[in-house]
Amino acid sequence: MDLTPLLLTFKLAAITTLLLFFLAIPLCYWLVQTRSKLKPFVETVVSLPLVLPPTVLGFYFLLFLGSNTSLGLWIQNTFGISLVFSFTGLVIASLLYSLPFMVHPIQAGLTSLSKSYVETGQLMGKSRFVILCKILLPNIKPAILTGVVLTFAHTIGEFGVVLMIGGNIPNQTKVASIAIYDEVESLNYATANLYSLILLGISFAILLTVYLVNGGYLKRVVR
Amino acid sequence: MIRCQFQKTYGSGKQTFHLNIKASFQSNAINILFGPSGAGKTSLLRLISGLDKVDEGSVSVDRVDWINTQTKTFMPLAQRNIAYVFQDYGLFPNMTVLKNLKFVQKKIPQQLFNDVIATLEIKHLLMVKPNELSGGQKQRIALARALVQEPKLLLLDEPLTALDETLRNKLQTYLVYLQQKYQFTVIMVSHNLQEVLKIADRVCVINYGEIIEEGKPTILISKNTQNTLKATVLDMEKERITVRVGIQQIKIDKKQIVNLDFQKGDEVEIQIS
Repeated sequence: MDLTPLLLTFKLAAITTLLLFFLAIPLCYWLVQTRSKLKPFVETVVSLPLVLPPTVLGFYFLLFLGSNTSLGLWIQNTFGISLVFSFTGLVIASLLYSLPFMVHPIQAGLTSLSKSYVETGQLMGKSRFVILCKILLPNIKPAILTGVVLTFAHTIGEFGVVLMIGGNIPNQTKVASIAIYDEVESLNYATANLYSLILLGISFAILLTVYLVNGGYLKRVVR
Repeated sequence: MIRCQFQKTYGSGKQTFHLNIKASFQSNAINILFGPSGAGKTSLLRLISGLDKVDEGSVSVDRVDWINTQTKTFMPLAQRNIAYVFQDYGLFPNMTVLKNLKFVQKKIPQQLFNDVIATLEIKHLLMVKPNELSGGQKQRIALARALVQEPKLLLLDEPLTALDETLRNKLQTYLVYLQQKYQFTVIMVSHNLQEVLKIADRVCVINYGEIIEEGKPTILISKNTQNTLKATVLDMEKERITVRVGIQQIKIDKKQIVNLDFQKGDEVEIQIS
């Protein structure tokens, strides 16, 4: 069994989770603090991947960022990267596709905190950055953990977007979900089963960890 | 002196609440905002602090404009040196009591720190996290955190409401002691008449978003007789009368009234026992 698709899957999930974490935190902070009329529109855009078929997202990605579009050409000429049938393209598509899985738990966590934390910080003369890092984030650790784990697990399970944008290029875009599809197409059920079992085991372990940590079970065991 | 003259409308459509404030608060003294629930007390504190913005008007502190919509002045919150004790205390749950205090400023003057810790009797709580504290302890910690900020203005939003009488009396004494020692201005929300009479240097009576009376707490008490309150007769029924004391309405049985020679709208004196 070729382990490359599995390694590529975890690399994609890790990079997506890391980037989304740093993108989602300021976005969530803005969503919680703002009184802008743009807020419902931004929230709708963030939530779209939850209801949209992944192929729709993939289709528009190809339409706007493909190498024969002006934007795609500009990116290729300026940064020297092609976003279609490349690992970079997969990362960008994953960022969009997994955005709600990171944003929703963190936003819910921040919303649940008392407004007086931020206001006390403001009256003490603390900067927004200090208020966010020292007061807000430490008090929503379970929400952050949920966001990180859901994003990671969801990216591992991506199929439609990956197929549309990345195709099936070994060592570059052939992630585990594509490899399973490939093996089933070739009637190699045993290999497909191995990939599937590994993904199933890892996904189960990740989710179980979240429930154990957020439910306080691990603390009880340690005590 | 803190002078406020402003308007603010909260909400929109039918669900609006108007504040039309003209009030002054005494510097280096305990001022109490006295009024019933929904009168606009918390909103007034938030507008003075700058957490909410006034629609029109000004707030000046010792002749310096903090807010003036005409000159478009809005002093940043960080420059006002305000400490605010919220109704829910606003203690940071991730920090111990000591870290909550040190978060205000890294180098708290040692004498002030020791004084606050000793006066509020919280030394044994320093390494405890807020979620392990009782309501009364949280209130003391919130007050301690506000005091170590060395504020020019301390805003207290009903900080003593949830406490039993013994603890409330104790905290009132602490507050008066610390205010007199460190000379800062306090504006405190309360709807407890006894509290006003006990600790306030000045009282502003607020109802329906407007200041209806202001001055020394004695404005609520008759000048001639001790233990009597000044009241206005609102309604006269067959067996009892309704009077207004400050913002509170009280019904009195006619059998308890010594002299019935008054009419609706008259000012009378009632004796408290």
